[in-house]
Amino acid sequence: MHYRIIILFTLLLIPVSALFSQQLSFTSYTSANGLSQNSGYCMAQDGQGYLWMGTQDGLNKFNGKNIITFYKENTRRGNLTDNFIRTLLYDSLNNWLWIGTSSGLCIYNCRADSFYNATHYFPAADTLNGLMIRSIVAGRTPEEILVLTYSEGLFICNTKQRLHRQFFQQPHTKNNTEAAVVWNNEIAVVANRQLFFIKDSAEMILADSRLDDVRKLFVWQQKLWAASTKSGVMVIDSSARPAIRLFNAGSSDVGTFAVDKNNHLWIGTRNAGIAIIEPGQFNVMHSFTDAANQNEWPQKFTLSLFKDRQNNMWTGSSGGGFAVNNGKKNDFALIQKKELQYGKAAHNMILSIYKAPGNLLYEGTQLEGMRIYDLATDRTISVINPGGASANSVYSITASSPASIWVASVAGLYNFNSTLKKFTHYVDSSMLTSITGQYVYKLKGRDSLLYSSYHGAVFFDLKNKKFRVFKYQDDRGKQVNLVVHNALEDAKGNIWLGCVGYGLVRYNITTHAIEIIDAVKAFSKTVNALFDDNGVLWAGTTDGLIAYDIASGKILHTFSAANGLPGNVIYSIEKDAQGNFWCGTNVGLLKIDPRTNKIIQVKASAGLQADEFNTACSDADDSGNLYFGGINGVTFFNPSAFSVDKFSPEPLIESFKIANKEIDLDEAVSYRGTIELNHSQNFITLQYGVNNFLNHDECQYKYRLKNVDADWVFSGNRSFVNYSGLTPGEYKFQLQSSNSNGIWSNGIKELTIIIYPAWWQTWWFRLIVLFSAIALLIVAVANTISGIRYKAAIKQKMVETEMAALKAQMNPHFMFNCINSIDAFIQTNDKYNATLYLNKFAKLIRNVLDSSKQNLVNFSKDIDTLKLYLELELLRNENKFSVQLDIADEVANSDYKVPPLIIQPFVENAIVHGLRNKEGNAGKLEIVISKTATHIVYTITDNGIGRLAAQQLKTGKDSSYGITMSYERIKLLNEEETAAVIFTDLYNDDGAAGTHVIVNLKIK
Amino acid sequence: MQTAIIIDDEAKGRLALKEKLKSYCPEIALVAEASNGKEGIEAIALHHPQVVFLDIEMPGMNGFEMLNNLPDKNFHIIFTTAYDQYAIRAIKYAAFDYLLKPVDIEELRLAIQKISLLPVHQTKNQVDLLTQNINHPRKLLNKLAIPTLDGLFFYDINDIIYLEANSNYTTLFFNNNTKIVASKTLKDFEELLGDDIFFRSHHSYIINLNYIKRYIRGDGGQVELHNGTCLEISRRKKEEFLKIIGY
Repeated sequence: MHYRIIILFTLLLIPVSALFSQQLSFTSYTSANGLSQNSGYCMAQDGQGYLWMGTQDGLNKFNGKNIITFYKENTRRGNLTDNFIRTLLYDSLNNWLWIGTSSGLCIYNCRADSFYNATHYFPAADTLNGLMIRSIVAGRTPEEILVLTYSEGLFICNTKQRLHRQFFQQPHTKNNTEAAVVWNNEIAVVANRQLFFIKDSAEMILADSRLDDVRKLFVWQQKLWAASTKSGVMVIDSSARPAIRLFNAGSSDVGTFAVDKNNHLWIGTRNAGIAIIEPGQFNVMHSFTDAANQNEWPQKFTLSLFKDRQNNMWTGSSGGGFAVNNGKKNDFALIQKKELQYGKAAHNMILSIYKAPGNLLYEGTQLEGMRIYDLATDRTISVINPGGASANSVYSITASSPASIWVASVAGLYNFNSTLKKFTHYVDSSMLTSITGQYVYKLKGRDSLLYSSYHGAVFFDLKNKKFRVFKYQDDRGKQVNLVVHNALEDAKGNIWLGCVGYGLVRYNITTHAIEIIDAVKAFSKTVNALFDDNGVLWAGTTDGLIAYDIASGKILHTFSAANGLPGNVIYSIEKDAQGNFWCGTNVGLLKIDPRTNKIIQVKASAGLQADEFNTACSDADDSGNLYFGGINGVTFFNPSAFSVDKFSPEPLIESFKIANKEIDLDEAVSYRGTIELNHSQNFITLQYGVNNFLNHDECQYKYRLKNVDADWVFSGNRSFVNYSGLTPGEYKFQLQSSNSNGIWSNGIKELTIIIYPAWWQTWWFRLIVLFSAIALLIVAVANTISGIRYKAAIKQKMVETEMAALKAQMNPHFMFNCINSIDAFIQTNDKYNATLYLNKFAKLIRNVLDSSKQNLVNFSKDIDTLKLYLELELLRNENKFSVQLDIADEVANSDYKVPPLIIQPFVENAIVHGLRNKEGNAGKLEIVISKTATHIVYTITDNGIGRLAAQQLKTGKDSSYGITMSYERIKLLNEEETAAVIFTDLYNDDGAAGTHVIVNLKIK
Repeated sequence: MQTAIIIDDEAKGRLALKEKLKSYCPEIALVAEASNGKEGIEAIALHHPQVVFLDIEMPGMNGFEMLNNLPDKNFHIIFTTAYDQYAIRAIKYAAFDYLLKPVDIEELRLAIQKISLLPVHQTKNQVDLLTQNINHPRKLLNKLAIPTLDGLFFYDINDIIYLEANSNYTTLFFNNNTKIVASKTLKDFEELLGDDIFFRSHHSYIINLNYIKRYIRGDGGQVELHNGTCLEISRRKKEEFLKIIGY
């Protein structure tokens, strides 16, 4: 896509060898590359490094890769007043791009990403509206901008005060204000062919300064250079002596000037291309009018010249668009066969090289035999085919003596006598391993070659010219088939082999023991190249580069794609005089500094044969030149002359899309530090780029979204990334780019992306939910606990009540009185009664003790206890009353369980309070026990003195403790709020006639 | 020979005691029996007994009420009761003797021996004290009859600052800077006074917790009382003491 023109300079100030001749090349950008139009009128570079290119039809914004064109119809924000862009100036103070069109002055605010009519910033300058702008020039101070018009003279705009002043308003100057420049801190203006100076708002004409139709004024070497349409270049040495002299730039029609990084003046002509002048000499160093190269420079009509921030020189031409010169192809020399031979296309697949002492380089090719190249004359001096088609692919070349060259070819091993130019073929048909040669190596100090084929390695004895079988057992006795790519001998005489399938192998030539280096094999099983760096073996593998310390057996370094190596396949290794390793790879040449781990990548664009090199196809000579063969010839160079492109600007984020729709920001996304999104805007696309105009295709990127990407993602030259399903939170996107030499930018572009949670995702909402949940949990737990506690309390209460009840039933007063009664029988020698009641008492005590262990007892047993109690009460009270116990059969015969002695307190109450206090012996106690569907009903009726009278008789102490306990127990048993006990006071004609108590017990 | 009557509502109770007196206490001449308070008053008025065995629990008028209804109380009283912890404590506070039913013969004999040594004139004061204690609205026993070699003395227990053991006797120190020597052991007092406001702080002391001025730390520590007396706290009582005073 790039139209390249090679320009060879004949007049070079610095002498260089013919091998590394200086070249200039241009890469051009035309409508074929997306430029809006091919008239390259003007250029400017903004603060972020975008190159703006004005044409007759549209304004172009270029980052080295993509061109975006602005027309007056399609600006995203604001308006371009016209599509004919005549002049551009970047104003770094305001970050504005000044745009002079054929119809008005526009200002593009870079940060706001918006076009404004100049009157937006200079409200009083409405005379500018619709004017054709001639040029825009930087003023004396950063805030001063000079705008020249075709019909209204000069406008001096002060961007700080937002004011302007108009100059050259005279009828003869108004339409003829031609050019302006700041010279010696004064504004020099050509108007009406006169040179003026503006001093304190006055326009002063310099005497003797008639100029001829000036297009442009320029200051170089303290002199004022004027580009004339008729007289070419006119030079004014000083304003004190304003003599004008003509400078012959090879054309009388000159339009523009620029100065390059070497302070050479570039002069753009309208009919003779570019002339370049060396400082001090004031003569044309090079002109495209030279007959030798005039035809190579088709763009004679130069409209504009511009130097960008990385010192590239740009030209804009009429019809040729824009072109950039970069002088980066001078470091590498190339050996390629270009001529056609026997009607075949040139074939430059180089499989092996051997640099012989002197000027000769042996190249082993694929299919075309061996070539011998003379570096001194830059010519291939002979092409030799060892014989037969299969012999013409030469995989390896070495020498056993200056005249004896050994060649491993597909047809086997050949010796080439360089003096006699004669080949000798050595093959042992009994040995499969002797053919399909891959590699040949001359053992140091031994008359032997190591030779490897596709089938394995053998030795070749140079004295008797016989193949000798290689020991194939490893130290574990295993048969090993070693196909060797590369070999070398260390200081102790061990042979190190770079093998296929086994990685790095050590062969002890005296013991014949083979040792596979497991640590290297774990890294890679295929070693292509070896280099012994003072006891450290560097092995180039298909998985990267590894350094193995022979003495300690330790791995010292590994380089692979995982830690930033541009590619994993290392074909060859050489070391330069500066201590750097150079590796031929499948992604160009890599320069690796093992001290700093710094990696520089050199790609084909720098002048290499190609990006792809070949296995173990490299060599070095005594002068320090390195040779690498690959798929398209041999690249050779002197590393000391190699210069690295250090310019590596920080990348930019160019576009931010949400669900493939550009985000609507109030400024250019490249200026944004933070982007805030809502929870649904979580599918984002970031497009990024770097403003590098040197080999932009080879610039690489790495990025990471912190907390999403585990590590840096190396994206190569892909310039976008998508992220989807981002959860709310704060993210930091980091971006870094490298230039074509693999130098990473110093700066890391960072963009903070904040995705706000939806209200239900917010921390406060979650907190509320959390607190609510906790509160609910607490309530639930509290309820459960209180439930458990309540149950435990009930149970405890039951137990306590039972105990207390039993205590109450075993009313000590009653007990001791009973015993006292029995004592009375004893004292009166009434043995029968003493024994009778003692037994009854004993039974009662036993029953009470038994039931004290149980919450519920059998109904019948409980009645037995009650009966015993009644009998003892009758004994105590000397039959003061009679008892009638009436139990319904269905209850008596039931197996109901009842709380022990639950009605005893009511019975006792009836006896102690009702009946004992009654006069006479007519007391009656009637106990009736029946049942309803759900309850056992106890009815206790006495004809005692009644509750009221009993209350009055009651002595201090509360005797109804047992009753109280029974109430509690009944409540608990029946699970009722109030005890199911009904007291009824009985009355007859004489008043109180006893008490009637009904107790209802739920059947259990 | 001392005359006696038995007042008990239970016939069997009267019978048992009567038979025991007859068999084992020849020095007692039982002159009458009564089955309730009313009969008791009549019997006392009629017979002027020297000793009254009085049951507390009786229907109608109980033993204490009966005593209050008597104009003169110039007789010894031995209370009989089957079981009544509260009443027994009150009786003890008044320094009356009591018997638990069924009556132990040895205790019966001892009680009869003891009363023969005591003067009868204190009975009224003792009954008054008993009544006061019984009728205390919150059932607190405040009044204490303290037997000494010089006879009974009546004190409010809240006036006691501390008690000090003195072999079989106990010296009581009061808040009016007086002291008396009681013919009871410190252990007797410990039982009698309980642990509401008194604390056995030492083998030799019971202190009234209301009179503690401060605690002085030490092995067991010392306690200074309101009258300036410093008393040792025994080491094994220290923890309990500190807990009680809320240290």
